[in-house]
Amino acid sequence: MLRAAVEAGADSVYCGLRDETNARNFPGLNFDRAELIEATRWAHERGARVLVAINTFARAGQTDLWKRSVDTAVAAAADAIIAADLGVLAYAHQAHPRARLHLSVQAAANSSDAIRFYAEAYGVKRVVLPRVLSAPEIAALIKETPVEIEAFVFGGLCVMAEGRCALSSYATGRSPNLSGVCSPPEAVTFDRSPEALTTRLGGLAIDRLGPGDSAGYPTLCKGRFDAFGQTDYLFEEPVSLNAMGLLAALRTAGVRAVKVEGRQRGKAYVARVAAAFRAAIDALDRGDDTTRFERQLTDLAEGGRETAGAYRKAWR
Amino acid sequence: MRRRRTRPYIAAREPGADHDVLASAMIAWRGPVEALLTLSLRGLARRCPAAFARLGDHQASTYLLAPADMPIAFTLAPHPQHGAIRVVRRGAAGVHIARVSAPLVDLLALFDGSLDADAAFFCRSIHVEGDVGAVMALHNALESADLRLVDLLPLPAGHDAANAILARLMRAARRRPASGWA
Amino acid sequence: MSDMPIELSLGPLLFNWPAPLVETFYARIAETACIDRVYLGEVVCGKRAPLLADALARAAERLCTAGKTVVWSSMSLPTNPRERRAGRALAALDDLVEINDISALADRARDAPFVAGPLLNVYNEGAARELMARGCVRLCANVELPLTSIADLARACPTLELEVFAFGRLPLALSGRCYHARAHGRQRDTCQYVCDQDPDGRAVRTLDGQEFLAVNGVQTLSHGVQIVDLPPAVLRGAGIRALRLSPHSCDMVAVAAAFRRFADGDTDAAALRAAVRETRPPGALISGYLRGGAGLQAADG
Repeated sequence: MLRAAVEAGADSVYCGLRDETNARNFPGLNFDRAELIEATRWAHERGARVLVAINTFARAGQTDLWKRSVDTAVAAAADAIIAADLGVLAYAHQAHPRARLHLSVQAAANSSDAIRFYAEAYGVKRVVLPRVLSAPEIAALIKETPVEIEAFVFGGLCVMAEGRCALSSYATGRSPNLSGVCSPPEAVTFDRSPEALTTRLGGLAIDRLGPGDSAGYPTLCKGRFDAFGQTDYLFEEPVSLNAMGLLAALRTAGVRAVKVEGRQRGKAYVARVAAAFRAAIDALDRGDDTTRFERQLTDLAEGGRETAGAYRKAWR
Repeated sequence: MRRRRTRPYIAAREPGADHDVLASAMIAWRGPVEALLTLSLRGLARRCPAAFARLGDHQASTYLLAPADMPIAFTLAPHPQHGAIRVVRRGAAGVHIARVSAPLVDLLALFDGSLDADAAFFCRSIHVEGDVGAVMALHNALESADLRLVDLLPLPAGHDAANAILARLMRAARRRPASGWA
Repeated sequence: MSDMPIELSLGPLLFNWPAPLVETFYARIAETACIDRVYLGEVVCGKRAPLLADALARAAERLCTAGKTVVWSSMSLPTNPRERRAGRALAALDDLVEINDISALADRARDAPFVAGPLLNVYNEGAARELMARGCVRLCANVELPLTSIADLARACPTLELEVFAFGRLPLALSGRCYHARAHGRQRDTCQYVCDQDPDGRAVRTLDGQEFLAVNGVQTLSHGVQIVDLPPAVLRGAGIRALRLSPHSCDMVAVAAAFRRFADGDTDAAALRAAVRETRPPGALISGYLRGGAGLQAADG
């Protein structure tokens, strides 16, 4: 995935270590220490940066694992560590004062006050914004903030405040906060009958699809539920974020980097998305239109449907 | 009467008939087919140990890979030293941790990463049953290994010419554009 | 520590109750001797705050006069300038406040004492120490924390007072989007306060009819009602100083009395559960998180 992203034109690529310290702790994903060192070397040879995600919250009594991960990332010459936990940030700042720290969306810093706190306390240089802010709100926030801002533009959409959502652990015992997984695969079952495919998490029905419907991974907040006398996608449709149409607005607002979600996605996806955004950003530099790049990515959206999410205020 | 062919005619026929012929051939020549695929697997394990390491405990699992358009399936035991691939008739699969079913061309395209697995799953081209974590581990291990179609054959690494032939056969076998093709 | 009685705290009201009901509710609480501490303030949605400001101010006076510790709670996810202003005003108070979002910490004077609410993501001693260095004196454990982690926290931070969410629907998630408004075809800005129809949140069931979650405006809660029914000795052993009861429409005075008897060792866990069930809480009793399991696991019969 990392190679596919860099070859397609990504400037930086996120990765994680093979344990609970990163928020994409899926089986078979992520690097061991040796692979991280090699991947960083490979990326640097091509002028790309590697950002190591140590963005879950350390477990009480086991904080050494997170501290060692920070040490490993620094030793591998990674370009930045992205973290969320106050303890991890404090350790990184004290033990490796020259290491570049980014603030993960899991830290839920969605205001200039919060960002200021992290910048003053731990010297974070860049903040990834939660996906709950609209484009005008982002512009306002950037005016009040001394750090660089990174905003999501493509991929899976979290509708709840990241790093503060326990829906997954309520149903399965594991959540992104402590375990680095949302709606973990070991709790998933695909229940097929001739009429329908029922996707389940922890045994709970999350969605039921007829033969012609698109399938989806049973992420809890994208499920269909009975509430208010209706059966519907209560929290969010199974759509993907595609904010390519807002690139110009985000750039004007002062966003420094745009982030594509999908470390757990395959090479084919990563290559296409990275290439499309590379081309769109380069087009923007030339003053060209980006519409044609937008359309290139529609079939990659979950359920084949896209949204610009909270960037448009009407989402609320 | 059993018909024998020296190689399957994929390009020239209807998919259904092709695949039945292919299936019959694989059952008829089960021994050699299994030996060939198992040799490939062991060769891959030697060339890509890191990818196999990603399987973790699932190195000891057995997966069932079932081409949706054929009356046979393959069991995959991806152990780096003792791994094996077997050909089985559908319905006679035995114990497996998970089953992945898709049209044969899609299974092959998943193997070399030219088909995005999530997109194929969304459009219901592939079906997954059983331990989803095990399937995820297999998918992520494959993704990390940068495999090509030629790796299905027990040849030493490289062989661009052989890969080019296989890729041509694959393109000819496509009757519909599968969603998510790169 | 082993002989100190376990305190009972009343958490901040999470739901949109009408002002007169809020007034009578806290008047009753003021007369309820077994509740030691009360958290007040709008935690979920800034639009509700003006409706309740007077009632809460009067409640604070009554509760203080009755000798209870009153703590003002901050918003959990401030999203607009007005909510942030309210957060700054709260952070500027000299009194003890409860912080439910990191932005309030930025505005609080360093060393001014505060309570870290359960909606902050504090999961370990490193994070706890960072907050203690800035004045945190008490932490209400995040609902996801198992008992073993709470015990680890207590060992590493012996001067930190620990509270645990002991009764009520569990706060599980917050969003920028209001699900009450959305379900009624409205936006957050034009919601017409429909969340006031659901004093305990609106029930959410799965496609199979299983009770699962509850919606409260921008907040998602469990359908099940958390109950911490571990023996007092076990609670003390894990360093737990106080049990937090989250207000629901059932008889909270009866709930508090049941917890008081249990925490004093006068009744056992089965009696606690029976007494709580008698008040007809809005969901089945659950207690998976403290055991290290999925949150929705049922409490024992």
